[in-house]
Formats: sequence, structure tokens, C-alpha cells
Amino acid sequence: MKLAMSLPQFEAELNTDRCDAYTNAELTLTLKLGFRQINPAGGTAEGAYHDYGDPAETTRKIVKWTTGSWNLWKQNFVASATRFWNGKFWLSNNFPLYECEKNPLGIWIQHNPVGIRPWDGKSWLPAGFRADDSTSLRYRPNIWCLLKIEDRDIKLGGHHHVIDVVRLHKSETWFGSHAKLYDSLDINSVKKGRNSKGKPIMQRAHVHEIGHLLGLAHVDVGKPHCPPGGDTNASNCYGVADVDKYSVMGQGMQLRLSHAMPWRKAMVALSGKGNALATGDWEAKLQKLYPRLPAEVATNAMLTTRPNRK
Amino acid sequence: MTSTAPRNLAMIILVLSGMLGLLGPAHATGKRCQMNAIERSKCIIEAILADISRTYTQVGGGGISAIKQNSTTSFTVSIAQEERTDLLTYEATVDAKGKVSVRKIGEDTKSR
Repeated sequence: MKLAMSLPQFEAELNTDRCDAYTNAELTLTLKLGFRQINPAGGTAEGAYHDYGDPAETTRKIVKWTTGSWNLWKQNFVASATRFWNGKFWLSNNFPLYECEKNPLGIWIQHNPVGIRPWDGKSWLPAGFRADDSTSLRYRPNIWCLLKIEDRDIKLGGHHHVIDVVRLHKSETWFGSHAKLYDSLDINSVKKGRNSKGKPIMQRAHVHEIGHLLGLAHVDVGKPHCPPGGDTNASNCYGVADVDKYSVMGQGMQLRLSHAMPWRKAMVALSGKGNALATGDWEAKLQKLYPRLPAEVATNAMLTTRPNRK
Repeated sequence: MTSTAPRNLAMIILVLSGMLGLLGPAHATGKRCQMNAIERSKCIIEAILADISRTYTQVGGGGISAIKQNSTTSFTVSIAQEERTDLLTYEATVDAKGKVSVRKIGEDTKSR
């Protein structure tokens, strides 16, 4: 079964077609990005562009994109951002949804909100069909969180976000970017800040920006030094304590369980069950959670090591 | 020659330690800070920069993009960062001996 929904920020699709003792359902969020070149004015090979695209700000030297450099940059952007965010979280399924079982005939069947069906996902079993509960094993899959970033041709339209990109001259080391304006160095790891011991904290800007595109806020938003009603781009919002600075939504590269929120919200919307603000609903883990048997569900066991199933 | 050497050494240590942010509360000192408006503002800016070196930890970004004088004794330093510009406002005092002290009185952000 595939359930899908479209939101202004991204698309979400839940795929429960594959279900067995070791295989979870998959929830894929898809970001359709349109990248647009910013080139020197007048078709020249070199030129200048202002930080943040603001004519009142500092200019940086830029060079014209070539077909090769443009394609390579986009490939690197998509591949490295996907590698960072894709497949990192698992959500614990605390609802009796999407369960599957191997019946005495050795056939995998799946339980859905509207009935049960065989493994192939095509033909429905007759209404009222029940497997023999005394001999069958029913598994409740968890949710594996996936991210797909689609580099969608700008001419096609239908993007969730359009991002302008400047190619910096080799003499430049920095450009003032924001969520919709990147530079060619934004995929590189750079020193973003330092911790309380003076050690550098490194970050690749584009993975931070992808977090924003998924709806994530800066790490300290909601704390007294970064109230939600204030400017949530204030420096304190990027973390004051070292542990917060290290977050990818701060100054560093670390993933946190709170970063699974876009997937948790999507599961609530797709399943119609739970509340993303309730910690026990679709609870996130940074380790694979194996599908559970009823007794394991009853004790809320989190199976992070591969269980021995018959 | 020999009597000025220790003084020169002390000056070098003072400047270097100021650059490294080891002096505690940011200040510049000396008669030159009273000489004229250029020297006074220069002393204030140096003290502000020393404080930023010591206290501002988000050392990535594009660096200082502007220093604006708001009043005779107040300056705002703009620091370019991804997604924003940080605005640090300082108030300075210059005493009779030319000692400059600065105090940060505001931190603001211009979002992008």
C-alpha cells in the first residue's frame, strides 16, 4: 500500500508494500528543488555579486558557470545533502497499523485500516479472512525515514523551492548566503564557530539549509535567549551551550532526534493517528528498529539489534 | 637604547595579549587616545575589536562588514554571517588619562 500527500514544503509517501520480520515501512519525503544560475552581468566571464543579493552589502567576485561546473555542483549538492539526511531515523510504530503476518500456509499477508491483503499487494483477501492466531506470527513494522532531493529542471516548474546559486571566484572564501541564495562553496565544510574550549566547529551550510527547507528551526529556538516571537536567526539561536552548537541546526553537523520532526508530522498526517508533540507517538530513534511481535509491542520494546526470528 | 627596550617589550606584549583577548575587560589606554577625534575613535574601535576577538565565538562567516559610529562614544559593528548580519553595539568611555573602556550595550540581528 502506498499513501501519499503533497504539502507546500515537500511531498510525503508511505510505502508499506514490503513487510516481513525484518523489513519496515518506508516514509519518503521528497524535496523538488529548482536551481538557477547567477552569472556575471552582461555575459562576462567574471563579475561581482552582493552578499545576500542585497545591493547595500559587500560584493564578492563571481565567475560564470560552465555546463560542467554547474552539473557537478548540483550533483554534489544533491548527493551530499541526501547522504546526510536520508535513512537516518526510524519511527517506532505505536499504533496497530500496517501489520503483516505469515499465515500457516506460509503466505505473508498485511493488515491495513480497511482490511488485509496478500504480500503482493494486488489482490485483496476476502472480507472477514483471519489467519490462525495460534500459529501465525504478526509483525508490526516501524517506519524508516527517507529523503529524496530532486534536482528538477527550472523550466518544468512545480518546485517546492527555487534556489539561486553564485559561482565564487577562486580568490573568494565566503559569500553571504541564505535559504534561497547559495554559493558554490556552500557544500564545503567550513569553520562556523568555536566551542567553549576554543576548538573549531565545522559545518556544511547546505545540510543546515535543507533542514530549514524541511521545516526545522534553529537549535535554540524556544529557549529564553531565543524566543519564538523574536528573530530566530539571532546568533544565540545557533546554540549557546557546546552541545547545542554541535547540532546541524546550530553550528555543527550532528543529527538530533528532534530533527525527525518532519517525518513524525508526516506520519501523523498520513496515518491519522497520534500527535507529533506527544513524545510517545511515532517516537524517533537514530538506530534501526526491527518490526515487533505483539508481546514486544506490549512491553514497548525497541529492537535495535537484529532479533532471531523463525 | 637600553632603557627603552623593556618598555618596547612591554608594549609588544600588551598589543599581542590584547589581540589574543587576554586582557579581561576590553580597553585601550594612553595619551594618544585623547589627542584628537581620529585617535580617540581609533582607540575605541581597537578596544571594541579586542572585545569581539575575546567574546564573539561564531568565527565563520564573512567577518566584519561595517563599523558605524552612532554617536561620539557609540559604535555598531556588523558581522556578516550565513542567513544574517550580527549587529553588536558598544558604548565607550575615555577617562582623563586616556584610558578607553568599552561595554557592549546591544546585540541585534538583521535576518536575510
